Amino acid sequence: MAENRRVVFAVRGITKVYGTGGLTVHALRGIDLDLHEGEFVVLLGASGSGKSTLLNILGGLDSASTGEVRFRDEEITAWPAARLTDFRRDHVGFVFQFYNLIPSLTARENVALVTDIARAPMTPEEALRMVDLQERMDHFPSQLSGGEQQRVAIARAIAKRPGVLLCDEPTGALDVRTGIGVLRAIERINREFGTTTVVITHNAVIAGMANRVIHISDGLIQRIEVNESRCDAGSLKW
Amino acid sequence: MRRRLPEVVRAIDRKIWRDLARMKGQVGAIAAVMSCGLAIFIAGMTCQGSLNRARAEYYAESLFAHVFAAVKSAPSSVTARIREIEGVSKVQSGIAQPVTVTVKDFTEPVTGRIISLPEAVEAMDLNRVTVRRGRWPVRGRDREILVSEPFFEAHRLALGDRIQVVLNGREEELTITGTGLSPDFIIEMPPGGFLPDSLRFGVFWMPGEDLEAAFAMEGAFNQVALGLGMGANQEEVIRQLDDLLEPYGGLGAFGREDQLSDRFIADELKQLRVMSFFPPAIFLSIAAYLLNVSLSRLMHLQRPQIAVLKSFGYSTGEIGWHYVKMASVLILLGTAGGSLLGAWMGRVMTGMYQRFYRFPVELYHADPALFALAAALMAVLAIAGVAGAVRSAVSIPPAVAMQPEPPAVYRKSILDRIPMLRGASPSARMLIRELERRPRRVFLGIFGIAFASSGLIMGNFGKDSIQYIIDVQFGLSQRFDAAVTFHRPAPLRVIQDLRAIDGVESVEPVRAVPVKFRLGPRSKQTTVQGVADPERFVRLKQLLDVDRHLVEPPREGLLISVALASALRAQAGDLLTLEILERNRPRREVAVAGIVEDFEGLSAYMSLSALNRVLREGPSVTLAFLRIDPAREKEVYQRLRESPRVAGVSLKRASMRSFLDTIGENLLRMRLFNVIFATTIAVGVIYNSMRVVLSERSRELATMRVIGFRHGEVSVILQGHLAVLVLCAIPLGLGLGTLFCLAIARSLTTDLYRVPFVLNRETFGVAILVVLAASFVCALFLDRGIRRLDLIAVLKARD
Ligand SMILES: Nc1ncnc2c1ncn2[C@@H]1O[C@H](COP(=O)(O)OP(=O)(O)O)[C@@H](O)[C@H]1O
Ligand SMILES: [Mg+2]
Repeated sequence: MAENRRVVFAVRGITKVYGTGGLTVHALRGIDLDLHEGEFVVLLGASGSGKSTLLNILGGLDSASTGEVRFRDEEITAWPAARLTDFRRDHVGFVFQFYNLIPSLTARENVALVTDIARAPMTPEEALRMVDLQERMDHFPSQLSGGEQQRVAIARAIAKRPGVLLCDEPTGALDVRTGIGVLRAIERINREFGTTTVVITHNAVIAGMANRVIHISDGLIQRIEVNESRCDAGSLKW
Repeated sequence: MRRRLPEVVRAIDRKIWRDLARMKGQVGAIAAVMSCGLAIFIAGMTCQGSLNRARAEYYAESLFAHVFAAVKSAPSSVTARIREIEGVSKVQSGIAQPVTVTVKDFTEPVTGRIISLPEAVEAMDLNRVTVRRGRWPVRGRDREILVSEPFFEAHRLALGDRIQVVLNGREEELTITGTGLSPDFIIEMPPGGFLPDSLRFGVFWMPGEDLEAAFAMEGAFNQVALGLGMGANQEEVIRQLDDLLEPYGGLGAFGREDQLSDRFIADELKQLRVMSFFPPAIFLSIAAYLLNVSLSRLMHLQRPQIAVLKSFGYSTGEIGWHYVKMASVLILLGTAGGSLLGAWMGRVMTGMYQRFYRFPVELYHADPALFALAAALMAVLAIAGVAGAVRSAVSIPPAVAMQPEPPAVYRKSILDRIPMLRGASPSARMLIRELERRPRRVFLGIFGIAFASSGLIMGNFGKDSIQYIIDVQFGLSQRFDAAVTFHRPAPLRVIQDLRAIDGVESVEPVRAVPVKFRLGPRSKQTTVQGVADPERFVRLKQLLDVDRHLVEPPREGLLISVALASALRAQAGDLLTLEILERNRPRREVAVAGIVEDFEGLSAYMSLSALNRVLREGPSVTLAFLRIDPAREKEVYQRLRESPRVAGVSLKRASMRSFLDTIGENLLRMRLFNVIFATTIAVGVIYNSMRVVLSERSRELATMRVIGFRHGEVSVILQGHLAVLVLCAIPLGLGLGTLFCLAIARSLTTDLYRVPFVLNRETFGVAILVVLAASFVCALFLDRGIRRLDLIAVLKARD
């Protein structure tokens, strides 16, 4: 059971307020959450509920207004920007809705971008094989379909063997079929490497894949569902 | 719908200000480059217009003559015959003589030209002297004279002051009753000088009878000016005048185009025309290019906004107009800045001209039409810079514009073809593929920076060129301390007399003869200097060939200066016809033996014995170079002045100092302008190009930061881009600058002075340093831009 495993992220009472004066937005209003080693978590919630904000804080891209986040017993909320950069470099894999590949680099080179600076990476070829793109390694992003580009982005995220994989609406810009292919790739990583994975989505169906589904609404955790048996991405119905 | 539109339009206009405020760095840089181009244009045109206008006004008002001639001495009755030449409407004859002058408290040699005046200005039919202060001098009473205004001011003289002038070998005390200016001395060049020197050369006017008496020339004249009627044939008049004056020792008549003062103004105007066209054209093209690149980028970023506006029902024309208005704000900024800067520069530059060119009317004249022309020019520029960008962005159908753009298309680059580069890092690949993807833009960026570097080279070219003249002329060539001129050819024994003066260490005699050279259809009037045998006299003025090696005139034949050679299109071996403008004007043929480097304009040298053979006369001297013990300089000068034969003395040290004083300040100012402009372009081009690149690549760079690249690792990609531009631009710029300087040297070189094409190593060094410094500053801004990238916002945006 997930609760017995080691805690990767311990989130305590974090809030996030954007803006100053009269125009403040409370994106997060007090989140408490533990994420465990190897866990697959889905964040579910309406647009503007604070999911991305939470994910960005976990990944060291943004800082909380109050509260603390611990990553394997270290409090990352206190870290300076340079340390956060190193944290992302060594431990975090990101996947975004818009794939954010470097258009001037081929698929292989996009992955190499990460493997060149990571501590114990796999080879770009291995990473691309994980997402079934070994055939298209020397193509530029402009020569790949949306789903293929997203899979390159996943390969790039996991090539460093990150401790956590954070995906913000990875299928948001894709059609269903392609989206399933992408989710399958994410799930396979989670399964094979035991990478703690957090996926944001609006789509409740995806939740079937997760160990836990965290419902967020208006900056607060509404409820947490625990799936006793995960279904794999291929059998998801939309 | 129609009625509500104006309100919406006001909202869309507000967007102009927001967009501009967000781009304020780029806006400032583009406006600055525009301002510079426009300022040079306005300043150049203002000077040109002012000079032209003042000259035309002054010539008309003062009845400036059309034809001029000097003669040894002709009886006044000849003027009646001159008047009969067809086409001649007015004749003014008189006397002009070189003099040496002593001004109290000023110990250096001063020379001048004294010219006869009639009773009143109304009696002057041509070249009227304008009295600026005081009154017209009256004959007989108290030896009264007018003094040229610049001389009067340089010596801080007062009306009623007296100066010592040696008239025909006798020193006399003359009283200043006023100051004057005349159209034939708008610029007062000392004979053989490079530049006006109001402390050491002046023009003086004396009542005609007094001057005739002093020089024993009663009833005679030695110079004459002619006014021509409409439709007169100047060439024919000159030919007939020459024939008339020949028996009296005519020295050859010439038109305005060869009149020294007018020649200088004409040359100056020619230079100004070049200056007010080429540099502004390049500046403004660069500005148009920057405008185009920046606006294209902005409109690209705003593609979705444009699509939304279109879907609201805005027409393509209305949206296009919106961006044109935005560009107009920039153009207006540039026009305002350029007009202000140009008006100021125009004033400063006309002020500089006013030191050399003296008009009794105000020289500076700002023409309002010029500013209107400038504004029109800028409007054209705006259209050129904006049209393409607006057309391409506005013409995309809204449905397409609202969709996320597909990733930019890149191809494999040379990296993938050159085996050695296969191992290049992804960052290096990103850099090189980016450069290869936009070759036109990269080239234009490089060219812009190169142009800035070339501007820096041009800025220091004047200094190098003058340094070279000083080194050659004052250093290598002129080994003497003083030059002495005699009233008329003197026997060789005067050299013994000079050498006998205590403090004179050595003397070199020279015989100068006025001549007219002819080769084919070309002819030039100048003097030939016969230089003494080096075995009998120490050479005090060295002749140098074009490689700066010492040369001696051969036993036969002429050495001619580069300037004379190019004016006549003569080469070594050519046979020149010499018309000797003395006695009965014999004609001889002499071969060109070689070309020499000097900066005295049209000059020619022969060995004294060869010259004497050509003249068929015995040895005589008209000029001597002296080396003087510096401790006894003053006594020597005093003794020379007392000698009745001596017409003038000039000290090398003094003329060198005045040369540096006069030119130094102007040079410094022009260099400053040049460096400011070049730096503005460098910063403008680099900053703008890199801002656009930063904007285009912000998504990539943010992505790299997100996946764990450190700031420096990301920054280096843009800095590398910048480095490639700058490193390609510098050698290109140095090359371009060298070519431009060569062109400048060519175009500035006239019969009167030659601008040597010389560039020192420091000039290149300084240009490189300034461009590197400008790049460094831009790199800092760029670095700050990368630091400020909002990672989250960039990743949320769809591009
Ligand atoms: N940089 C920001 N400045 C101001 N408000 C922001 C910013 N980023 C997000 N927000 C606001 O915070 C709230 C949560 O945003 P987000 O975490 O992106 O929501 P979600 O990912 O669940 O759609 C939203 O109301 C959003 O408008
Ligand atoms: Mg979100």
